[in-house]
Amino acid sequence: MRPFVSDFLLPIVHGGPAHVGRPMGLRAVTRFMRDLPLNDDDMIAKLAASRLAIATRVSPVATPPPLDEASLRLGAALHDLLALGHPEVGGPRSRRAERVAAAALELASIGAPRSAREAVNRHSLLARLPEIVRVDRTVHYWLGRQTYVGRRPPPGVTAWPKLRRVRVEQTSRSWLREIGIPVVGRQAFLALNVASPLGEALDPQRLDPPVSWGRILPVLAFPSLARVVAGQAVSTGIDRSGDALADALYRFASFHDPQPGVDASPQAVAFALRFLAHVVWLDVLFGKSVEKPESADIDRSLEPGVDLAVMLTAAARTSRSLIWPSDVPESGDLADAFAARLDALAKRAHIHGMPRYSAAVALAELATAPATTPALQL
Amino acid sequence: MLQRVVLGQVRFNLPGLLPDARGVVVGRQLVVRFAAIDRLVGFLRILSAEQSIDDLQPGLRIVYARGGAGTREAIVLMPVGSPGLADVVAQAARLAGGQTFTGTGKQFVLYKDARAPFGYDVAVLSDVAGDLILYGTEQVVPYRIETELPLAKLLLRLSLVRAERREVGELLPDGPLYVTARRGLGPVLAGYLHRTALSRAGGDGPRAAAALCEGSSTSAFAAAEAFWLFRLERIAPRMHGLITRTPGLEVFVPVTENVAVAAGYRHPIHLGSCRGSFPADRLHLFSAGGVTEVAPLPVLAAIEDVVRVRAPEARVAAVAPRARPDLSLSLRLEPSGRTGGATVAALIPWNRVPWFQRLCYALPTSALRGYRVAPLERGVLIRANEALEGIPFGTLFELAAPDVLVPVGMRLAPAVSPSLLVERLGATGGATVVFPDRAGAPFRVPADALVSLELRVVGALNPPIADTWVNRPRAETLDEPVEIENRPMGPMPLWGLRGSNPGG
Repeated sequence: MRPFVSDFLLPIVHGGPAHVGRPMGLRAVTRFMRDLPLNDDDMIAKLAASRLAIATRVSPVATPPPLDEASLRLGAALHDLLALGHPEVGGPRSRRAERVAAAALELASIGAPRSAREAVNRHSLLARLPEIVRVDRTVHYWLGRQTYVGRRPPPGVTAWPKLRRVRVEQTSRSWLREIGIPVVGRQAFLALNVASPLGEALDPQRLDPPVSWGRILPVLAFPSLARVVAGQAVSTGIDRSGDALADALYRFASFHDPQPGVDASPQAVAFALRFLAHVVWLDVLFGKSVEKPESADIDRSLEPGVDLAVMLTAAARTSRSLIWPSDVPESGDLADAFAARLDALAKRAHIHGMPRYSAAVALAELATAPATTPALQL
Repeated sequence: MLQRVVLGQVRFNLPGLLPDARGVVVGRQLVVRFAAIDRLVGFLRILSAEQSIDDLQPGLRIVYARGGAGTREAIVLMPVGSPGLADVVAQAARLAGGQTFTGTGKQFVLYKDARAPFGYDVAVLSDVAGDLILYGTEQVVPYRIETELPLAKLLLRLSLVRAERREVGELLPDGPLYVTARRGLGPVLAGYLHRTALSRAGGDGPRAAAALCEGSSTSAFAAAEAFWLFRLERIAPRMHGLITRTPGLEVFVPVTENVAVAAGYRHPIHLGSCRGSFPADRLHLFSAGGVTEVAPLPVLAAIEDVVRVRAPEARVAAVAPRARPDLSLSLRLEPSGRTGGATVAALIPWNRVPWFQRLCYALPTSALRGYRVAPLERGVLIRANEALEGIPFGTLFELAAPDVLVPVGMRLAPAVSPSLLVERLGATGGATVVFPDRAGAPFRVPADALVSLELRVVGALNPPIADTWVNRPRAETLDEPVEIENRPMGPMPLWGLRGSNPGG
């Protein structure tokens, strides 16, 4: 238990070398649970302080997240996913890799968080996941070369550097962006994102796996976290983040999102559209975006912001309640500013985004359709 | 089924295939397919290191296509501009985990490999429908193109990668650099660079140019955020630490004429080979937080023209003999003899704070939101923006000047102008200056000490300011990178790894 916390969980949260060794299963976590709680340890205190520092970035929490079963399961699942890249596992297509991925999937399958605090607690453990790097070192010497994947070469290999003409090449690669999740572990990684969707919601421009409304909707249902996500979208630029979220909404509404995750329903799609409109409202109020003058002579179809413009224009023309909060008056400075932004978006959509307009209208009509089945409670 | 092409073969079943000088068959286009987008990014990184991506334009397309088996894959289409290009692309694709095909139009056959050194041809053309039909060694896969991802969009969306684990200052090149500075920092930095250049005789001081760039965007209610952009042609190593560690300054290393990447980071793709993807009329600054586009290209002025020129100090003869007393006076409070000024603040001594706590239960929401409080040594200062109502005890204050408080019914003498009062007393930037009574010295309350009343009453009222700041828990610094370190797993690494749930 203590080696797992000190050698893996603490570096994952606080930084430093995270040791990846033998994969763990649910039984190992059950054994760890017998040792809890560990309150009399500097290492546990440092882990708690680091998690608190991460948690306070997204929520005004005062008490550190506890080291509970969910934390241990998610940490062990991440450990197993990292172990898939271990050279001794035998490659992503080996039988061993399938067993490790199955264990990771079982550990990560704890479902979506049921409260905002729970979501923040889980996020505090996995927030630095995009920062994980692996350094591969290749040692060239007079008789050949030797590659050490995620390991430091033993001193004997680099001994007598001048005589043996030793040269060490280091390659640092991001685990998530450059190395990537092996296909065999993809389902476990998706389950990990379902269990802790806040990181995915805060980084909608992530390319692989792309952002999925089915996974992030449960965390957006908590108003405090939805505000944090919306604020992050505004600060990174609503054109880019809005485009990524609008693009994901097409996949979500057409049931192309991979499972696990929430299924699309009229209420869920309506909530997603209102969230996109909320981001634009925030940008009108506090943001820094400015609408560029549109012209059919200038091709801006490649620039970000077209998908968001198409989506919101279709929603506004289908049902105004999708984009206009009921407690905001229809007149006044704020209303005029938002209406002007809508006009600019409509112009941009008309010039550059007409091929997707019909799909966006169908999506908005789905959002206004009456519910026929019990759906997500948002 | 595929057939291996033999040396000297001139007729092929797949339309568009032609043998080159070596006898290798190549079509007019190449197609590379990848199972995941990260492999595509890896391919573009490898390819851009060896080959200019601009040479593949126009004609380079990145599309998402759905195969006959339902898989969604990333496919790159590019023209074959030169005979050697296909080999470079195939090698890069192999490294990144992709497959290379060649052909023309929509029919493509597997490119040459070790088993077929002159390439492949198809035995019979397939009649399946699809936007792209790829003939592999085992099967024919038709693809339907779903979406297209422009290269420029991909380049702008990718996040930067930390370049090295060393100190950022060690990574700065000797060549030109771009530095962005917050608006307030710009003149200070310009002055510093100018002074450094003057002090370095012989022309080895830093040569710099600067421009004030307007923020690329603003909302209907916010003013445009401007920043300074400096271009440093040469910079001494001793200045690296200053420009990399000063908050508000950000250093960028130019990659092309109009693209620069934040120091300490690198773009996943070599941007130098993608010059054509960035419009020439704007400057792109890639940082960890996103891309800043400065449009149009800033016109940089020499640093000598930017710094403020100060007039030489005039030497004035002594106006008054030193023996005569100075004319300066100290401010004092006097009864004003009038009432009716709006009460805007109250100072409640600590022994009356329990009363105030009970009163908070009766205050309306607007008061709880609008009033701001600051716990001080002598009591709790409550400040309202317009009028303070509902607090019947403590010392009540009115405004003698903006953010200068005097007790109700008093005025400051001598009656100097309010603007001069504000300037000399330091009641700027949201700070408040309070004259507590006729005997007490004025004190200044900084802006960040005044917190909304509703936020403060949620917890207990804290002791004075000094204690609240000292008691704030030390924030953990999380700037150390997370690095995987693989450990030996032993002879039986999966021993004890069971997939079953012990709880059932």
